[in-house]
Amino acid sequence: MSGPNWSDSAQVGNGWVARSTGVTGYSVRDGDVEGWTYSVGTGTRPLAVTFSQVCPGPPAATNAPPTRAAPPAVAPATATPSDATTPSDTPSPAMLALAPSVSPSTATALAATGPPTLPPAPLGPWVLLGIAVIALTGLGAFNLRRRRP
Amino acid sequence: MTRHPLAWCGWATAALATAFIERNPFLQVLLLLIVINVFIAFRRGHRVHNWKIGLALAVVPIIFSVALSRFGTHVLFTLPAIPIIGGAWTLDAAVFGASTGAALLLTVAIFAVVQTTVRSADLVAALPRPFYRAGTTVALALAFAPKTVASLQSIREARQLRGQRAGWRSAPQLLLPLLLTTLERALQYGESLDARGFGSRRRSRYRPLPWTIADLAVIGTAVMALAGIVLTPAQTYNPYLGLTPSAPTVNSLLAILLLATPAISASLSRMDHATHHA
Repeated sequence: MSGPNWSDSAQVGNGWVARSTGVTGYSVRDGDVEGWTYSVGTGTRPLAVTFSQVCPGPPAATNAPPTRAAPPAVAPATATPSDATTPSDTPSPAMLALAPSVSPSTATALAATGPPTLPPAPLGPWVLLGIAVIALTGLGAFNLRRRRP
Repeated sequence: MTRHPLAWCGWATAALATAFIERNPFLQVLLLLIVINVFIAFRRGHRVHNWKIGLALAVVPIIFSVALSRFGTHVLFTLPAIPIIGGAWTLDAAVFGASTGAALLLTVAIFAVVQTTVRSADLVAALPRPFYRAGTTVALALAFAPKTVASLQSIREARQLRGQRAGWRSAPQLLLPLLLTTLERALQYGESLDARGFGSRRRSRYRPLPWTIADLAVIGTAVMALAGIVLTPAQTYNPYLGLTPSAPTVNSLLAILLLATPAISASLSRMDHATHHA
């Protein structure tokens, strides 16, 4: 039995799906919701939240910090205070993970997670691959049609 | 035509290394196309016996991966909480299984080509002297299994011709004639080995295989392809990170294309034959 551990989930259309990779294995796009739970055994799924619950729309005052609409905490019953190494005055780990990262404004935080602009892919490999496939198909047809020696 | 067993061993080593290292789907498809081409050029009336095994090896990983893996973000459907199979079934897991299955299919296809092109007698003759006796024994033992299956089939056919039933219940009655046939064949092997002076004198060579230009071309390009595959960074493909595979690099493409040398040289020699006979 392993001790309590963090599980990372991504929100898809109809619920949470566990991430198989670490945080370096994927990039977050606009509107994505990532949920972290701290529990014993295989990861418990976070409670259902929507993007607007976690990140409400940009406030009128640009410098105001984002209002933390307290999401339903996914505090696992199994994570006992004795297990937690963090001081007791910090919020529950699940609570902290579900809340958006503290940033000057929601707008800048969302802009930073936008999809990176990719350079246009070079055409060379595709042309070579296409020529190779056509040539190999032709060679195979030639050898198939030929009488056996 | 390429015939030397060492040339084929070099080709198979390079092809297997490619199949194990490269996981890019485009490169896998290209390698499969090349292996099929080489098989067509050298089939000489052989039929594909083990395509069912290859297909099963390609399909089973897909089933296992999609049924047991709960990772990935492209959810196909979600099953209720049944042990082992319950949860979200994802497209990522299916694609990961297909990628693994393609590598296994390539392995089987490469071995099928080697089985078609290399005669075991040539391989035994190419062995260095200390391994000659052990090699001959292993080759004989390996040839024994298919011969036993063939004699089992002929015994069953003979029974059917006599009007006797051929089902699972007749298996004990097949066993005795099969045992006798196998023992008789073993004695024949022993006598023929004895008549050829096996193990008593220095070994002589019957029609030694020379290295032809085609052989040298095949093993040279195989070494180049192996070096290219090992030295260029492998094209990893992990469907859990991104379903769309990246474009293959020109270096990997060129290295894999070198493996088509046997098919090209066989076609060239055939064209040469055709002009001579015209």
